[in-house]
Amino acid sequence: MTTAALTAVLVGCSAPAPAETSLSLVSEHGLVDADVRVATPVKRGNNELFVSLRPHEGSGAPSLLAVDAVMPAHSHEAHTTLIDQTDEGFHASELDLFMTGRWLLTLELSLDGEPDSVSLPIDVP
Amino acid sequence: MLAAVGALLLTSSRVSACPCSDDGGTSSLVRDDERYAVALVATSRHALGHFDAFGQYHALGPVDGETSEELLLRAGLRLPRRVEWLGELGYASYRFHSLSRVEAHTGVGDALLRARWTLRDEGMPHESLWLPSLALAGLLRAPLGALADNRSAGFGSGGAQLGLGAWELGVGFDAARSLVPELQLMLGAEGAYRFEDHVLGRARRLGPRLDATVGARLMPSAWLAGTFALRARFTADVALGNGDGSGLQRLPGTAERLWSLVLGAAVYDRNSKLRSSLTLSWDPPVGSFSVGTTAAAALSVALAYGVPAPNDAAALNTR
Repeated sequence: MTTAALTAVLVGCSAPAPAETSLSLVSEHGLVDADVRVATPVKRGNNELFVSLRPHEGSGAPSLLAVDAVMPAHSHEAHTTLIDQTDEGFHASELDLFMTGRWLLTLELSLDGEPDSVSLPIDVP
Repeated sequence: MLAAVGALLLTSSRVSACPCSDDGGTSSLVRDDERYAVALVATSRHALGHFDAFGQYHALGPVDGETSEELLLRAGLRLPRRVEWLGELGYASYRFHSLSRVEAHTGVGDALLRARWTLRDEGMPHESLWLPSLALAGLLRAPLGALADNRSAGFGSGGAQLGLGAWELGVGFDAARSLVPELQLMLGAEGAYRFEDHVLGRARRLGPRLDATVGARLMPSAWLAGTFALRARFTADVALGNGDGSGLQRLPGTAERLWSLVLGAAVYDRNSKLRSSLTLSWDPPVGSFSVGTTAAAALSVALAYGVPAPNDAAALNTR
């Protein structure tokens, strides 16, 4: 156990790549393609996201239901349901990333009543 | 954060120290000549800033604050003489405020059980091979803390006085060797594995932790000891499951590394059952030294009471 733990510590402490603030993703269940852009500069406090959604296959109108953020090592959580639908897609605001460090954002999605999600890291300076 | 210095101060079992409940290290409480000991430790901790995932330091702004106070009860039993059994439970208040958020949480921390086995005492100067003392230790953390109930948080996965939210199993060692009678060098390390938990509402596994401490203890008089130590804590990336219960995935950029300087002073009388200590720890706010965690300063005061083992009690009464 000690050897495994030591290896994991050393591997886990390798320098990470900076998180992208704009990227395209396929949802966890493969239902939705999502283009996500986090308004820059990302800052400690309230942040905004712009999200464009389309079905991965077939037709339908995907929707963005909520945005959750978690800093898993510190057990910090943030959440917003303040989401506006615009011509370009969805605009989520007032996502309070109140702590410096790496957060994991999870976008709760829905396509024709089927739940799905996409996740992405974000670095808060 | 201060447990390592506790291990250092107590390695030769003459001086008591005051580790916080969240800290790693193979700390000891019961002196070699005691059967039982209890200690109450009060710790105040103030955050200075945060290190991001790349080691850049960001000082707290004028409207930001992150503080905690903790009362920690430690109780130990030495039976047989070379084996010490130690339990710890704390009660803490944690506060965080920024421009957009105010949080305050109060509650118990995790319960810690430790067993420390003294393998060998330090050799004598006249021996041809003057070896250091050596002790091995085991740790079990039970996630009883308030974190598990309300997802409150603290100073990172290594410094959450309100609990980690996960079971933790660790092993460690500490060693000490005197250069001269008044100066002792010490070395200690502890590795710990954190088991999967669901404190965030989905599967999470905190990364394994490795703590290492090197330090020196100066004993200028029969009643005073001073300690200086450098401590490093490494924690690997967190793994997180999806909300639908599928497998854990490691999240790059969530590892932590924290360097700390620890300064301690202990006052004691070998013939007294009471002893006390004061410990200051400081995480240098220097970029690239630490990663993904909180830099803080902490002040800790401890008062301990030890009951001599029967043979030693008789010896004490004849002095």
